[in-house]
Amino acid sequence: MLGKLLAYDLRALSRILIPVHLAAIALGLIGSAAGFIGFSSYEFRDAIGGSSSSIATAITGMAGLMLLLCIVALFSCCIATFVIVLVRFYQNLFTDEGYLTLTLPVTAVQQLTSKLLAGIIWMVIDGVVMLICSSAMTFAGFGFSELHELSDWMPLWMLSVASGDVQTLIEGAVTPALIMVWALRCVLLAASTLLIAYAALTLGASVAARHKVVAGIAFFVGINWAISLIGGTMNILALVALSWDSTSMLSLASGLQLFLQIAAGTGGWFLCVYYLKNKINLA
Amino acid sequence: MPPVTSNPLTPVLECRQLTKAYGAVPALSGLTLSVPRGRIVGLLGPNGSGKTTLIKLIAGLLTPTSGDVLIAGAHPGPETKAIVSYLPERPYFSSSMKVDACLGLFADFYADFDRLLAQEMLARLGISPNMHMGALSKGMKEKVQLTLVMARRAALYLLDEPIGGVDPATRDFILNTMIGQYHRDASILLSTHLVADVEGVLDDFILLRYGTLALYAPVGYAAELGYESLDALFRKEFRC
Repeated sequence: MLGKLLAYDLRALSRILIPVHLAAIALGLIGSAAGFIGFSSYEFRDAIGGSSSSIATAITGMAGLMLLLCIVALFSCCIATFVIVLVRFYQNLFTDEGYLTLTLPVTAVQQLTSKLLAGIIWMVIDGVVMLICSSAMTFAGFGFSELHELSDWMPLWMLSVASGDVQTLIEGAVTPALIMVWALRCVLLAASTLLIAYAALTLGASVAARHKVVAGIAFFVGINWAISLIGGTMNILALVALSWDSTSMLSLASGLQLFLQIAAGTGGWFLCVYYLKNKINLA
Repeated sequence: MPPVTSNPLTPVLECRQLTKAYGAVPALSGLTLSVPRGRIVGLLGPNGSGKTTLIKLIAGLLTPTSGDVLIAGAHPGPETKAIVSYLPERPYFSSSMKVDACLGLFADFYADFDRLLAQEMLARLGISPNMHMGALSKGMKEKVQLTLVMARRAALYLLDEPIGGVDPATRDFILNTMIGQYHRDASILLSTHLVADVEGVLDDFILLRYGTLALYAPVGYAAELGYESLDALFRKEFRC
């Protein structure tokens, strides 16, 4: 049953997200072209100087603007993916579609697992598409020549920030194994974030008599605020305990944030299962 | 929790002091009844009497405030959902789904679904499997959903207002499909306020008033009370 549920959930998400990511790939190509034009124009300006250099400068500027817009649009695709996954979760369970979904002969655990896996799969696809597009734009921006420094590679920055471990990149101690660890952390963080969002929407649908979606968003903001508050407090206490050693603190803070996020995600899982099993009241 | 039983002596539906309140407002209060297998039961009552609430409790879409609802001896869950075929009063398929995909979904999740029968019924209705649900009229959507629901070999069919809001020809189709596909070992719980249209197909009726059980009797009981028909009894009982 879980396999069948997953097939239907993936199909429902893919109908919307495949076109979104095709658009993202197109933006990546446009951004790469813009990056290469900007690089070429910059090199041309340096080579010839004179009056043509002002035209080259203008072209470089416009190319830079186009590249920036593409990056912003790509980032929007990332946000859109997350939002669409949540919208499908809510629609499939708590609107008219719920009359079908919640009367299928499947357990609450199977329902939630299917939606979690479908969401994670698409967030991983989204991450891979973003990394490929940003890699292409980075290489194009350097004229498809060798990168001077590993830290010039934008996708590496994106991966380290998403996984919450920037310190190692700054120190230049990046290895292939560490990149795999970052990727795994990103997947865990994505799963936890999804579960927190699912729990917030489930609470909103169950607790609020009206404006259930708004209630769900409020719960999501509140839960994340609580995680940040707890994490920040523990960071300060740890900083005092470590006698204000900021080098150790960055690693500890990163690990603490990951732990809190996973703990909250696990709590979200159990909350969702409890409500789907015992507190369903579909209007 | 006892498993779903196929014991023919076990009622297909049992409610024990079943209560459902929305805040301080009781939609159902202390409802106690037992529906045996093999009966077509009309769930009758005016708007707001608790018909849909009862059906949704049986289907597992609502949680009781107190009391119990048992389907073949078990509380609502995956096991009971496998033997209950539910037709809600609203369309529940995504508008982007094709009719064929809806057939596929029922075939994937319900072991008792007869896909060939459903395809034949849809062909008789002139509904192409490639049509999107969003392109169908309200009546056509009702027909598709009813076809899927009745093409299952369920133990209990829950039909919530299946003939409300559709034209008389569609109404006849729905009732004929119900009777045509009905298996005598199964039970149908049919909620409606259009009593005159359905009383010819009913074995028994449940009359709800303000969320409580007013009467549960065979259709012939209306005549014993001196009424011309069940519809006449209904009109008298709920006269404004």
